[in-house]
Amino acid sequence: MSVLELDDIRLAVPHPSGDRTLLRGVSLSVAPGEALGLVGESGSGKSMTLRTVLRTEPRGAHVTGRVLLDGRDVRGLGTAELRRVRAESLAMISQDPRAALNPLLRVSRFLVEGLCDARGDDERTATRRARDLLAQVGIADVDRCMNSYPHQLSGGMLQRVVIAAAVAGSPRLLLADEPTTALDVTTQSEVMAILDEQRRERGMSMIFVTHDLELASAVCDRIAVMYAGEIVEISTPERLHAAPRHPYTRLLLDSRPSLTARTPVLPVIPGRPVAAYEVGGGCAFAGRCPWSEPGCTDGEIPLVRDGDRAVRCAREEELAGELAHATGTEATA
Amino acid sequence: MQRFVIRRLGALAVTLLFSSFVIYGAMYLAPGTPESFLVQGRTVSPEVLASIRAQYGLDDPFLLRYWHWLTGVLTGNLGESLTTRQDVASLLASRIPTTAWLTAYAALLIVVFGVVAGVVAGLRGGLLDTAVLLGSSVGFAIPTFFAALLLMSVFSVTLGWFPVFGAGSGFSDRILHLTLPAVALALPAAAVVARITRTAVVEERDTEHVSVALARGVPWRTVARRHIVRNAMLPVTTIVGVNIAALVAGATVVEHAFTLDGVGALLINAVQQKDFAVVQAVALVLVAVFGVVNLVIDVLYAVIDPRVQLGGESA
Amino acid sequence: MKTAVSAPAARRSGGPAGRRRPGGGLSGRLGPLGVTAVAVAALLVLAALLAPVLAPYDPDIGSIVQRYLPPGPEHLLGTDQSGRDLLSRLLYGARTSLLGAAAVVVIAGVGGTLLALVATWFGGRVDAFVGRVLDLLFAFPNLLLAIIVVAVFGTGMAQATVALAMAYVPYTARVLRSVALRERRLPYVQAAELQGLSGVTVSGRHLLPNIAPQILTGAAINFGYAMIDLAALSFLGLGVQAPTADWGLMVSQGQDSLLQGYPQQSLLAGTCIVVAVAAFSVIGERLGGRAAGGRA
Repeated sequence: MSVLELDDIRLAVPHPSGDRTLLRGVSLSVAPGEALGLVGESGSGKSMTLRTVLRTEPRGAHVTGRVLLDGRDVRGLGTAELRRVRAESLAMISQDPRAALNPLLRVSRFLVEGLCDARGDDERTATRRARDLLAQVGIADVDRCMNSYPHQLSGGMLQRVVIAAAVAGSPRLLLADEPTTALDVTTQSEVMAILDEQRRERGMSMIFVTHDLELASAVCDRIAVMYAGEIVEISTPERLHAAPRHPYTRLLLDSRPSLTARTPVLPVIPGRPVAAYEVGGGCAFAGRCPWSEPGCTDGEIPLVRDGDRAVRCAREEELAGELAHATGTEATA
Repeated sequence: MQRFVIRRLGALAVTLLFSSFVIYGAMYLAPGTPESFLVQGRTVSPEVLASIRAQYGLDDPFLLRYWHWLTGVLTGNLGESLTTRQDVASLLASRIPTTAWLTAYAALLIVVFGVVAGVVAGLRGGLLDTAVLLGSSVGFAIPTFFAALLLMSVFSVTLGWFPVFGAGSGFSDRILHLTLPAVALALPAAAVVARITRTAVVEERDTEHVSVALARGVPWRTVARRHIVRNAMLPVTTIVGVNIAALVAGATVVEHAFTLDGVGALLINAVQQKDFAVVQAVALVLVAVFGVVNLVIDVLYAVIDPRVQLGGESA
Repeated sequence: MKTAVSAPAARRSGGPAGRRRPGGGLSGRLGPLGVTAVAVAALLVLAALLAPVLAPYDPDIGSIVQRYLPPGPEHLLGTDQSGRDLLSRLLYGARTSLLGAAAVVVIAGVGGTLLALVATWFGGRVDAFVGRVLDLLFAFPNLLLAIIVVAVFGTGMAQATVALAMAYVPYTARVLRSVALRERRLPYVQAAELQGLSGVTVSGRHLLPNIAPQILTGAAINFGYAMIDLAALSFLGLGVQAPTADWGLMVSQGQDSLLQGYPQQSLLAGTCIVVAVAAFSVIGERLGGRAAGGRA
């Protein structure tokens, strides 16, 4: 059974000019020990999807659909049960560690709090465990770190602290929301490696949200590409690179700067990202898609599953061959 | 921490020195000569006038007179009242208890009602929140002296619960006498404090570290206490401090309304009678207390907020 | 194959980016409460201006046999301890109270603006000196500073007004200085300076118009404070002197009557102050300022 199963999650937030849809039916599943990458442009609904799992969506948001964690619907839990699930089964790593820690409390308090106040461990055991964890995430001077206030530590150090706190209770599922975006380029890979290592050691599942397809490919077992509040393609990194099935994935792959070959002009995906609430009928990407046809804007296009991959495109079969090749040469013409 | 306090004390001493110069200089520049005031309109011979001028050192140059006054102040000699010939220091000492009780009582009310109302409104929201917001708007617009009269009219005259005048003696009698004055004095400040506390709590409630703590399964009560209220206390400390420091001067109005024999009443009397020796002394004492309260607040702030650089090397 | 369209062109072609937010006008910024406040304030100003026309009696003359009359057809709001018509006194009192507060705000505004501009323009030592002087003034509680000034210059409406204005200058100057300083660093001001325009010209033509909104907002907020503080000085017997009609003084004069069971005078005058202060502080707050921390 999968650790997590999202079933047709829809989310809308209130707005003066009527409710605004942010998620338009997201369905996915995460197997035990699996890392799933959630990739897309900003505003595509990646983070919002994570927040529906933790139930930390914006106040007043309307959410429908089921979030099954080990078969239990998280959306239906009472306050006390929700708190237990958050304390024991889920853990979140957010983008900016500096915002995640209370600036007025010491690091030790942050670490111990998650074990003590949330899970009910006794203070002394929690402290010992916190110290072990800090050592495991590669912090040399554990004493200094424990006694420091957040402003005294670097962003990289703080994110290690957050990772230590996240894995502390060996949760079933890690939710990582661009955990390295706010860090220096030099510490990014280090922190990423520590996160990956800690996760694998404990056999935890993870949803890894990022806009960096490359990074997701390196650490994830499967990748889900999101666009305008829905998933347009799910695949393994290898197959995604070799033969993307959705035009948007193709263009995403092409618009990355290559580290080996020099391209005179970087291809750009035409048009601007569409917000979920702006989407009318048919394919959300049709307006920007070089392969779109009049039929693309009609009706609802389903996510068609095929083994462990899935794609949401009306012309999927016709384009399969064409999308396997980069568009780079033509786009720069 | 010690060095921080010492440095702040030094700065306060310098400020007080300049303030004393400003206060003394202002009185020196005031129109009308002290001796004409001393003789109170009686016709006196030039010889008597000269002896008075000599007695009070009125012919000395300004700086010398300032120096005499300042050294006197530093040794606890605040001079002599021009009207009653009383020693200003002992006059002041007899007035301090009433004002000290009154302001301490009002400060307590500000903290208890202002901060608590703000915290509850910010955490709970809803009807209570609206009530606190409305109450603070009204409380803010009511001048202290008008509040004093209203309270007097309702609770003393109509209901007879509290005495109308006087400061009382002994603890319980004092509390009874000073309740209405303290409420009147605390009202506008408590209104401001409640509003700012509410805003601070609401802002803190929406921060990421709070939602992170909740998402980690930390119980709401712990989050509210440890993360929301504690952090909101930073701006609240400042605003409570400013308002408590201001009580030093604001007490004057309430003392006048309730005819309390406090320091403020002494000041107003002295101003009306042009008794500059008393005005100077009281003004300097009030500035000193104002400075000390502000210093205590700064130290407190540094204790609560670990980010404050006590050394002051970096911004 | 279509080529990549440049992003900005695509952005211009559609989307909600250019849509204007609703309620952009002044009344939109004020909101219903703000509009009410403006109406109340306007009504008060009108009452003050038209006091000679509206007042049914001479505010300063009464008959002792007509003292403490309850509200009635002769005297709509009754009479005070000297038999003077309360409505007339309130109308004339509006003149004193509003004019006094306005004078405080104007003097403090002009003084604060000048100090801020001088400090900003000359910078360096002048700025540091102005800063030191302001720091020194901040060592005094507001009301105490005003009382000291009254002690020096004597009691009276004019003295109290000037005294209070002096107590307000440091606050105004400090806020405006920081705004002016930000503006001064902008390239267009630097450019004007490089063109050889004089300091007065640049300050007047570029800095002043740009800090004007802050000056006005500050004035609106200070107006409420000034009214309360001025009334407090009059209440203490240091401001407006009898028999002039003034709300603060009327509250004070009504104190004895109130204790004898005739509360009208204090209640009416006090309510006028509360309403006026509330109206002006709402306006100030809505105009973009936040309620200042507290009054010292």
